[in-house]
Amino acid sequence: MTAAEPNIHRIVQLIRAHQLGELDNRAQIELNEWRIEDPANEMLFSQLNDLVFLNSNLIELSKYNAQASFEKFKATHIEVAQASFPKRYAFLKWKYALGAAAVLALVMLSILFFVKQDIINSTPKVTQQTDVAPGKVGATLTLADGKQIRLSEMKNGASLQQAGIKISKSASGQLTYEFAEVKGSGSMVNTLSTAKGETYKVRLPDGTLIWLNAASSLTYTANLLQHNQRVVHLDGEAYFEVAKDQRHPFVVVSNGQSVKVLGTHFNVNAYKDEPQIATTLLEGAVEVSMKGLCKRIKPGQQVVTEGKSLRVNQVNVDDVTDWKEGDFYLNHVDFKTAMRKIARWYDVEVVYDAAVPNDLEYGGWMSRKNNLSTVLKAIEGTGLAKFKIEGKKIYVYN
Amino acid sequence: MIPKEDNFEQLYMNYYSALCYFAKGIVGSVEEAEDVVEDVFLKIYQSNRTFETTDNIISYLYTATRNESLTHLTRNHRTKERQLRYNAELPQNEQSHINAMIQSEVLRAILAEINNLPGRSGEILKLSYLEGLKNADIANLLGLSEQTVKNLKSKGIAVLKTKLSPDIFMLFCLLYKFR
Repeated sequence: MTAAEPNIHRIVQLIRAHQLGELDNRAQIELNEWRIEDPANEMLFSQLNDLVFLNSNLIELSKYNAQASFEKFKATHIEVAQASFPKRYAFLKWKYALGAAAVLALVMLSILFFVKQDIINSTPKVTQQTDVAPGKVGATLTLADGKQIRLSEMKNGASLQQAGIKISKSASGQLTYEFAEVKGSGSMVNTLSTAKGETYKVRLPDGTLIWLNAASSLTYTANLLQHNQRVVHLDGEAYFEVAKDQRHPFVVVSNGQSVKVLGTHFNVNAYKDEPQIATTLLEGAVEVSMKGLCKRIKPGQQVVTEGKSLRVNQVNVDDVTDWKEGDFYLNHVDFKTAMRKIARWYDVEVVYDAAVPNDLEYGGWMSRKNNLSTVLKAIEGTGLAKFKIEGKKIYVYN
Repeated sequence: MIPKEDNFEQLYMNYYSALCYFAKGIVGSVEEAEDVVEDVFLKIYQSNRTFETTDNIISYLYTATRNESLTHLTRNHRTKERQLRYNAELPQNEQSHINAMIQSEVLRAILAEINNLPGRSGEILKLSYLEGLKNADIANLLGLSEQTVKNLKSKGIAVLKTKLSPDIFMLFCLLYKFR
């Protein structure tokens, strides 16, 4: 071991502290230095913070029975049994024990990785022909003249101009609309659409940010204005951070519903294959109207269309905006709804065996960066259902 | 000087699993990994070697395990295929060895805490989830009433909920169907 080698135990300590959320600034910097040193380090770091990875590897680790092995070793190699070895072995105090409260937190985190004997013995078998990679960032922009531009193919830093509006892809890959000149008809209609398995983020000329989820489309005029209101049409799901402009209320129209806002953060879920439209407010105020009915809601509330009426619910907003952060948040979500979320992100079709009940409930959280088989294996581990992936179809059975 | 026996036993109990996990990455099978690690510990036992610091022991253990694993690979004809795969897939350099060690050590630290759950609630959670015992069995084992077991279990879970971040607690519920 040379002096130049990083102190392995220090790195392990830092990673554990990070997992517990207990890094101070100095330690954070130290950890980041190690991460940047080598892509392999960053890869290891992200694996060690991926609960799915941790879970399966801890299961593997716990397969080994140190006690049984030692008993065998003792019997074979240690000839004289002096004072009888105490049955309960006192474990070494860990160098990484960080104080009582921290140990408790550490323990609680670890309980996560308890292993049920039956999970060891019967690892879920997701039979698959091919695995499915997770969705990506991408979208298609359709201009007024019908020309289509694949945004993932547009180079960062590139731009095009259309009737006074400049559409550019920033260095970081975000699509931005700007007013290039004041005159010119900004009334040309554009459509930004994502296919299954894509998401995209766009910045409109007024400064509004929109995150578009998979299989969705947003239609708007290049300058947004219609009768002194900023209007977009949404089919699918998007999360909005609307820039304040009191003279021009921002309106989102979908499937006969319209949401009127004044500088707020909210999420609209209006997929045609979902039974309801759900508008969830995170910050600010919105007013949702449909066919003469109107409901104004506060942050943490959600309006759901129910047939011909509007219902207001109190919700956990993380549940709704999970996709924007790159996660599936599927707590207490109806199983088939959860599967629809998965189908959109991985661009697959779900086929249910008749025996699968409708009312399964599923609880949990998963990163959208995982391959499909990883996500399905985790669900299978709960015993809710079994899956088989064949090309672009997921077969669900009991 | 710490008596050799205590030290060795502790070392074995604490590092056996992590070293097997680490070795399996090289030799490819659970059984071979266990053989490798047992050989490593035998050599240590027979060598009468003492170490100055825990850090040194740990580095030594992993390096010895890696060397022993590679020896097993060349020795065992059945594993020739795995050796070829190992050579092809993994760059045999110091860096990846170090990272493999880090990975094993982080996992070991987590699993070790599972075995060190404090208190009665902890004991019951362990029996319930680790051993898969039903409440009635736990009650019998510990000489408690089933109701007491249920209460202690709920208490443990309630504390757990306050100590874990919501998404981690959620995943725990997801994976272990706890309600």
